[in-house]
Amino acid sequence: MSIAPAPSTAGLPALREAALREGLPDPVRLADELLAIDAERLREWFTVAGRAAGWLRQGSDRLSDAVPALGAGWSNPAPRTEIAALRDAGMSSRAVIIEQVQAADLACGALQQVKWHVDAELTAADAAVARLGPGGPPVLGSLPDGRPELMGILHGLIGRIDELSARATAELQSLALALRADPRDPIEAVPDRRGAVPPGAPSVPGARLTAPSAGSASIDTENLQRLERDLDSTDDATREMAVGVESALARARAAGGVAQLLLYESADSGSQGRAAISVGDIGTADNVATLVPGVTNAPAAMSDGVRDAANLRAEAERQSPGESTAVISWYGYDIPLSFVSGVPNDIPAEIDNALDALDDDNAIAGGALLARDLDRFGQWAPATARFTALGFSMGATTVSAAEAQGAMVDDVVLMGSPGASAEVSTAHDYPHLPADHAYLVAFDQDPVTRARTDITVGLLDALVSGPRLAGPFGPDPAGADFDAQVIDVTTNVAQVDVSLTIGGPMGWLTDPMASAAVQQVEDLRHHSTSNYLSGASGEAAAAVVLGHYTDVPIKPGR
Amino acid sequence: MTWDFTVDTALIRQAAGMLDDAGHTYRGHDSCEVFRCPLDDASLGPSAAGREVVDAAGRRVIQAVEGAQALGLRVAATADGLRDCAQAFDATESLTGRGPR
Repeated sequence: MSIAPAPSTAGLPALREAALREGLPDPVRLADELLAIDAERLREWFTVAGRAAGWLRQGSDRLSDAVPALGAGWSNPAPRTEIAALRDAGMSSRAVIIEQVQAADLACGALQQVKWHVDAELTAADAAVARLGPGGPPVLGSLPDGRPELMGILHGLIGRIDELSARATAELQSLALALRADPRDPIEAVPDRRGAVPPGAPSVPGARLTAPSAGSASIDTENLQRLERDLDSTDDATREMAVGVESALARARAAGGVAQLLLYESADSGSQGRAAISVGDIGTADNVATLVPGVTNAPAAMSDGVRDAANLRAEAERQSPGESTAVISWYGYDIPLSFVSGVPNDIPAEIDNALDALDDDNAIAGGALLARDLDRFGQWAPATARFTALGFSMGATTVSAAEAQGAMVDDVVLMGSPGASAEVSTAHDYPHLPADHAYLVAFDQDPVTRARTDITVGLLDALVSGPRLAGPFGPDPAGADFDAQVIDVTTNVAQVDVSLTIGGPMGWLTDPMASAAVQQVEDLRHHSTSNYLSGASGEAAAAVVLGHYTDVPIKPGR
Repeated sequence: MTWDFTVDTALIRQAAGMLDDAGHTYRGHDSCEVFRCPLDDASLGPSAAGREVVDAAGRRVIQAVEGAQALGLRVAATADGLRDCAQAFDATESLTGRGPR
């Protein structure tokens, strides 16, 4: 049974007006949010899981019948053991599903009750206001200030709606925890012996217990072949990038067992090239994260990016051991200042590459490439895999620009971002990403995320390319106006306060200026991928990758 | 390594048929139904818990169906494997001309 929206006599508008006047939260808005919870649809959706649980029970019953029948025809116990293992896996999967269906059912019942109570509270408050004073409810806009009866009703309603909201949240948190188990895990845990010959079977062609698997061509075969050719290239830039990527692949293999070269475009004298390496198998991953680096990085030195990817993956698997996560280190855009760590380019290309650091042009162009590559990665991953794009520094600007250009992911995490790119004004401008799925980490001590960096770089940029209307990297995504989910974490680097004394007659002027300059350099230690991907910040980023939103601490924007 | 087993290929094939039936059941009797989660991001309210449940519910229910169907395919493959074994035993039998082992 559905519950109608809040009743609408003059009583509730009067309460809203009083709440607004007193600077109190609007209880009717919060009540409407609770009434809009679609618990029935959630319950209906879980009937599908209930059907799957039914298939698993019936199928396992039939397997149970088959085990003794097979024993009568073949005394070798191995095939029966294997069939029994499949049956048990089916029943274990069913147990997970049943637990989730029951948790959903309980939560739906509780949420429905919350809605009934909310409805009753609104009706009661509405009636109470209507009874106030002679002549019926107060006329809007003419409420007597501080009218004690009205304020009593208002405070009572706020308190009770808050309690009901907390109860709804607790029910949803409990269900979220129950849904962290993957019902496929027990089935995937049974070794797949397709193609193996059971002990005791005659050694003639075709004698195998299960059919051979179809086998799938490696998704990165062509990229690996190109890499192999480039290792012997006579072009220094091409060869150096290939050597760097090969080294990064080895590091990814060591960290993740499976390493896949998902993208590979050769470097040459005018380009640093493009590459992306997945730590972990994207083809079987439950979660796929794509990590985008900032300035001074280059594909030829992407081992560092692979190390960060491996660390993020390790944290995700620590938080959710049953789920598999692949983290892609994506060096797919024209990274400003990449010649610092990359292959040698010609002088005009390096100058151009240095000037690219002064604005978000490369991030916007890179965003289009990232959106396209994410689409391709999505085709290689399982249909139910979660996708998250994470960017650091200019990489964060690139991720934001990709979202602005329609990239399809479940969440983004912008870390140490100098800006969200000129493509957006707020987190509500992403066409396929709700604003509350845009996460942001900006350490207070990180100078790159502060306005003065924009001003400094903006002045330099204005000298080179003329004045711009907006900041060089777009709006500050940590700002309250941007309306992203600002993650409440602190830097992992110890804060050092610098105070220099040069002295002399101009000391009153030179001392603070020198101190500020050195402090700025000192503060740059907070601006590193490893800082953002460790400690509480790294844990929060991994929780977003897993979709564990309740584990992500949020604070208001600055 | 040597093995000393008793084999009745007719019964092995009968067991394979039972596995076929089990595999068919695991796959929802080969239903072609396509399931789509009817929840959207705001269906359970704006809280982090609500969004997490929407996200997880969308995946877990589909994964429940996928898991059952994947198990059905493995059981069906096992049934094929048993039939292959039975055929191999029959072939060996005809070569050696001996009775049941």
